Amino acid sequence: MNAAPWIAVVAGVVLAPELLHSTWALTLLSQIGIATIACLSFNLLLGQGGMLSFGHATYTGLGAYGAIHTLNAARAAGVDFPVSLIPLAGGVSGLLAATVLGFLSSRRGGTALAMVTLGLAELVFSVALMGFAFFGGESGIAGNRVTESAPWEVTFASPVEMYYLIAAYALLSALALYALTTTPWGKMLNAVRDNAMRVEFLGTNPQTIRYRAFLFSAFFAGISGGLAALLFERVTPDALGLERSASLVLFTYLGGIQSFVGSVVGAVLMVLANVGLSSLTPAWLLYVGLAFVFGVMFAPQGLTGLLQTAMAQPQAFYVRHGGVLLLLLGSLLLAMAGVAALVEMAYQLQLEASLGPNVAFGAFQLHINRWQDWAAACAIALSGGWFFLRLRHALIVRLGAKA
Amino acid sequence: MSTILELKNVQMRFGATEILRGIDLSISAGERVALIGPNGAGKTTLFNLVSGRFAPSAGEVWLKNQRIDGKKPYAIARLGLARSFQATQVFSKLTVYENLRCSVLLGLGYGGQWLTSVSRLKEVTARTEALMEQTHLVKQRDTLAQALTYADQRALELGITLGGGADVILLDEPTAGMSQTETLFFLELIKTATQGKTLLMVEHDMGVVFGLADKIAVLVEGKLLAFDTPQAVRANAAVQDAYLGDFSVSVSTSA
Repeated sequence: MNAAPWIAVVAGVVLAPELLHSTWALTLLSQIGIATIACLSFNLLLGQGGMLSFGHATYTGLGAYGAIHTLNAARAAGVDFPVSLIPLAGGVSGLLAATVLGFLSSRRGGTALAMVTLGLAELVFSVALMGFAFFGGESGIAGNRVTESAPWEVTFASPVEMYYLIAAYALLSALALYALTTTPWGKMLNAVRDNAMRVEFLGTNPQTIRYRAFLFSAFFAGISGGLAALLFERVTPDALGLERSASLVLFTYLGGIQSFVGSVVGAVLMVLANVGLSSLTPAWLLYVGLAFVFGVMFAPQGLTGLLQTAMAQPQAFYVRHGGVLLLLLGSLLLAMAGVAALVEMAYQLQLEASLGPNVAFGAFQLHINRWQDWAAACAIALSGGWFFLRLRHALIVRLGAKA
Repeated sequence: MSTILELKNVQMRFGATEILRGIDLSISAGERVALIGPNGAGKTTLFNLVSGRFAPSAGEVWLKNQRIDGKKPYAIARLGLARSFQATQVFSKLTVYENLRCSVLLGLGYGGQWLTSVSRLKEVTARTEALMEQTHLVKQRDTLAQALTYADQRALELGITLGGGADVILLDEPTAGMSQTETLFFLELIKTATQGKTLLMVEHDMGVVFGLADKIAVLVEGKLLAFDTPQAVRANAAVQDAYLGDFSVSVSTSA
């Protein structure tokens, strides 16, 4: 194993709070750490095992509930339970949930698996909405991470302490999940992904391989949920919702499912979209959806795969095709700007009564009652899209002719 | 010699269609048996019954004194039976080396191991390297299985089948679709690789059949027409009548 990237990551993670002092930035980084564990655990299922689970939030969510209840129960009983171990209670909760739910999900692969996970997630979510005592209804269950138990004076009251706890769990989880992929079982999981039938005829039941993947994955998903419970000190049934599950699928895919790094990239994108994009525009979910559709159509290898392909090209490639690539990028940006302008104006149209007719769009002031603005946005979106498709085609033809 | 694989009155029906109509076949340890017969005779179905893909409608299958009909494929594989597939079944997104290693791992019982890195298992590495040399795939070591040529994919298919160390090997048309040179090369490969093992092989190339088999089983319309040495089968009037008008011709041209 090449240790250099790991050391660089550890150094970056340790030094980050020295550079970013604001609470806001620390919370953002903490959320990225939590999302990284969730995406990596999902990648074990999808990337390594080829299992498209639509219900991964079931495990992160139940992990969060397990953690917050453990925290509260320890306080109520007056037990001196170290807060730093609460995420493990989340992991165990996820694991316990997977012993049953994962068993049901992993009986078959492919489409059947996707459907079963979707059904089970919906089931758990419905139960969460009804079970007021355990799930707390709409307001959820609150907790307080600052307890009497404070080994070495660490109370986790400050965001920095919380950040380091999350960072430690994220690094250890990443290392553990990576190590798992190098074991014989991890290799068999790849084999089951590629051809489960062949594995069966070689002497192993693919179900047991898949089931174990669910157990591991749910354990780490539960840790991620447990950390989220500690960070926000509240867990609501939303944590188990399909929106959360879909978000994990979307961003892990956008980051790139073939590689380990892809999941980390996906996690960063997820938090930036949830926190950054959502504060910029009410249409942020629409943009996420568009990005996903675009990714599936034009970059199925994900952002990481795209970058890897780009870096693998020799310099001569860029000398030769650099112009076309720049034009391609330009036309894509143009199309995106056009679409974004249309979306923003459409949203404003709906909310005109409260927000007025003017849309601030970068350096421009768009006016939803001016037809020229609509026409211009349409023209930019369409011409950008048209140029993008033409240039892409031209590039493929050129590359094909060379090969 | 002791019987290692035995079929007793094995029948297979899909709905109203009878594919196998009572097969009795007994194969001794170390024998190489070629299973021949026209298309639709039930050869692949017979393979599927023996390897556990389906359970027979009636009859019994015995492997090493254990009844195996109705058992799951992985349970039968663990008893030391491995099969290849007519349509290549490899792990397309893994490299040649990883493909063969999967088979070696499972053969040594490491499939569920999750506490050691695979690179630490020296025995696995050594066996995989040997298997790669045996199947002449050393140069393609890091090629993804999906990027291999057809002949190399067939070699990989064979390697995966052999890698688990099974002593009863079922090969379903290993040389189908290969050129004459490739077939000859492959024949040698199969010969050396299955030394001392029991081999049951579906094959259409009569050159291969007569060059390799100790015995030939002739399957016609779901019935076993003959099961004997190559010489006896060639002389068998019933076989010639029912199946092989051009049998002798193809033998003489390919021999």
